[in-house]
Amino acid sequence: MAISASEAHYIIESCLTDLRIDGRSKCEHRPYTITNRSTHTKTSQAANAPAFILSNGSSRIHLPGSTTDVVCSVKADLVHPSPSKPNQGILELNVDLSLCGGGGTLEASAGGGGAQKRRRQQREEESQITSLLQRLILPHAVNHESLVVWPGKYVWRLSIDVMVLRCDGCVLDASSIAIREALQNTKLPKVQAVMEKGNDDANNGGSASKNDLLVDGDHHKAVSPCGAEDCPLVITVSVLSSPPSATDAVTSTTGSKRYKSIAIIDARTEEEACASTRVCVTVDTNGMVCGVHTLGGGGAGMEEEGEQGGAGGSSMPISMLGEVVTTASMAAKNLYTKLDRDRQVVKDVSSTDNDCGYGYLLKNHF
Amino acid sequence: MAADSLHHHFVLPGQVLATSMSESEGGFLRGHGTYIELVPDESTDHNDDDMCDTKQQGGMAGTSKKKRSGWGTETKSTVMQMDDGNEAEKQDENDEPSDFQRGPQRLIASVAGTVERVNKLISVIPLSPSIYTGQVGDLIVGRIVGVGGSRWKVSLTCSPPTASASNGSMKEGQLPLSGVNLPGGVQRIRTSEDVLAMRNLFREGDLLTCEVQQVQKDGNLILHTRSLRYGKLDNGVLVTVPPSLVGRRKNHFVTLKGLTSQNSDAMDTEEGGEGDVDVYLGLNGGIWIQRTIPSEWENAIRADQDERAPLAETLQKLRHRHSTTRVSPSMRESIARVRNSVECLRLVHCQITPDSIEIVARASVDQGVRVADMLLPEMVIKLTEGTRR
Repeated sequence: MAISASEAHYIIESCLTDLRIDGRSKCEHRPYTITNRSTHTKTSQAANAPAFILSNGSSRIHLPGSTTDVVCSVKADLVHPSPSKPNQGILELNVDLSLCGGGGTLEASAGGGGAQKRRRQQREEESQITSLLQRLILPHAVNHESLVVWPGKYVWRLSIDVMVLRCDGCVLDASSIAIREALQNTKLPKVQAVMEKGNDDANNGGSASKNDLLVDGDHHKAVSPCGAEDCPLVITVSVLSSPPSATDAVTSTTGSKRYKSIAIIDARTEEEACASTRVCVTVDTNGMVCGVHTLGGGGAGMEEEGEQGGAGGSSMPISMLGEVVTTASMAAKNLYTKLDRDRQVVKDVSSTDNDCGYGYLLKNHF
Repeated sequence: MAADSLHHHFVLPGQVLATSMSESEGGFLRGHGTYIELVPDESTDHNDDDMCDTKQQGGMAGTSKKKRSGWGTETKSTVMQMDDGNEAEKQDENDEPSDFQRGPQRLIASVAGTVERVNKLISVIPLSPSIYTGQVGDLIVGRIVGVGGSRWKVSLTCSPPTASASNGSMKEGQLPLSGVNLPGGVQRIRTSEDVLAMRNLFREGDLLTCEVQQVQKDGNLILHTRSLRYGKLDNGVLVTVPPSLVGRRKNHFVTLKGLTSQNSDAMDTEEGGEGDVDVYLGLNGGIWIQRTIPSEWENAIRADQDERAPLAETLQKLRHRHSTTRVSPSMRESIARVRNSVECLRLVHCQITPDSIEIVARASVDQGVRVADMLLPEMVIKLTEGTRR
């Protein structure tokens, strides 16, 4: 997204004084609202987002005010496992950005070229987001061995589809929260493998054993995939640095080329556009870092636009790396507690809703 | 005549605005966005001679924008049987009083919008969704997206693509080189060197305020910044809202006073200096927030200049000083507060006026809400309470 140098300067200065343009401190998240399947209310007229009927688990992350909206759905099938990993379930991930009108840029390209160029960019973005999430989250998302139904023959395949309807900064964060919530709400029916040997029914003439899968249709016996509570979250830490020439002449007494950098969490689109680097850190519930990836920055001071991810000047001082990771783990801890607290609130089936939208809240007011 | 008192009410297409009983004086004049229907049950005479001119949105809702002349002519025959006076009325394409008709008539809204009533003229002003159509004299806060051909291209939806409409509908206005003030306030013919030096004035990504000079027939806007109030914007924050939330007013450059949080009563003497925030309400939905330039600066600059320096130069120096001076943290907090107030208003889809911004900002100060917490859903509802009365 294009941003003027002066705005960028203001934003960076704000972050340096720990009072960002919307008043948050550098470690605060925005108030995401999560709607997932286990939302119940006593009164049925609440405008809750209904769960997806055909999927095993779903969730919706949205920021009130329609700036960010990410929907995730998990569908489960029984398939033959891949021959190289016969005792593991399969997880597939697909990210769809086609409904998102150009938001959620990972590459901060300012090209407003024709529709074809935008579509191409969008496809590249989609694939980049998908591959990042695949690398960062999927290996740790669930316990793969627990997805096995019949070792060697049948395993669960969870297809995770993330659809980004709108995104205002930090697409990866929102998608990872959506995936985590959807996985935690996934209900897999209880499947038992039944093996019968030597059946002398007239069905199969010569074959010896008839193997079957018994699917228990009882909803209450459905289980969540094991290990879904440990699904990690991606925290995108944006590093904003102000080059010394932009600040006033007073401060550059400590020698030349001293960049002042600050790491912030959950950047908005404007803040992302000024970031010199963005680092995506995956942290799981135990505080362990599962993966780190660097994305290119927005770089408002630069003349040329960043072409593909990572090319346009993604650099930061090496001393920032430690700070980035600590900031990320701290923010992750906060985020986990917040998410769990929200789940607790939801579980208590009280008559308050999960505030999905201002319409409902306003209705209460009149 | 029984006209409902529907002033400033929100109506939907098909809603009845007024009814005239008697045969004589119609009692109302039909304005934009409405049509007249005879009350009796032959509702085939939906004679919407389409009064909506190009000012209203092309094709957005698509309710009655189509010219239904063919249909109108067919039903004319049935209408004529009832009333001979009808025909004259329906032929015209402007607001004729409906006093030719006999029998009771109803005035029905044909677009969704608010009712405006001036004496007898009743019209419905349509809500314009996220697309801004310009009128001459509007203030616009826009972003430069292209330089070339001796003009700049200014994007009117100047910010993160959070609009619900698809991004393909990016409206762009044109700012020709002849429409800007050259630095130094000098007036001369633009040479080819000026053309080559366009980027020194405005480059891609810059935010600026400008005014609509002309609306061309195909909807293109020609802009200009040829007044000392317009120009590049520095050192502040931009918020985007849907254009329909910003109404036309007399003054779009607004100063909000006294929004400092702590001891706001003790610091009254300092108010003129530090606590004020300037808000520029662009009609395309861009709202720019910056600190007010204190009057001391202007005095200081004037003291340095000789007596007959042109005003343009003073303003230029003032601007330069404003853009290079750091913003103090308390000022940043006020700016952030105003910014969040505008966001709150946007979230509840309320009109953005200086009063409403002030209501929300004051409520947040009085209730001691942290700036960052202003955007929590519960707080938004609470803070915008005052605007709902």
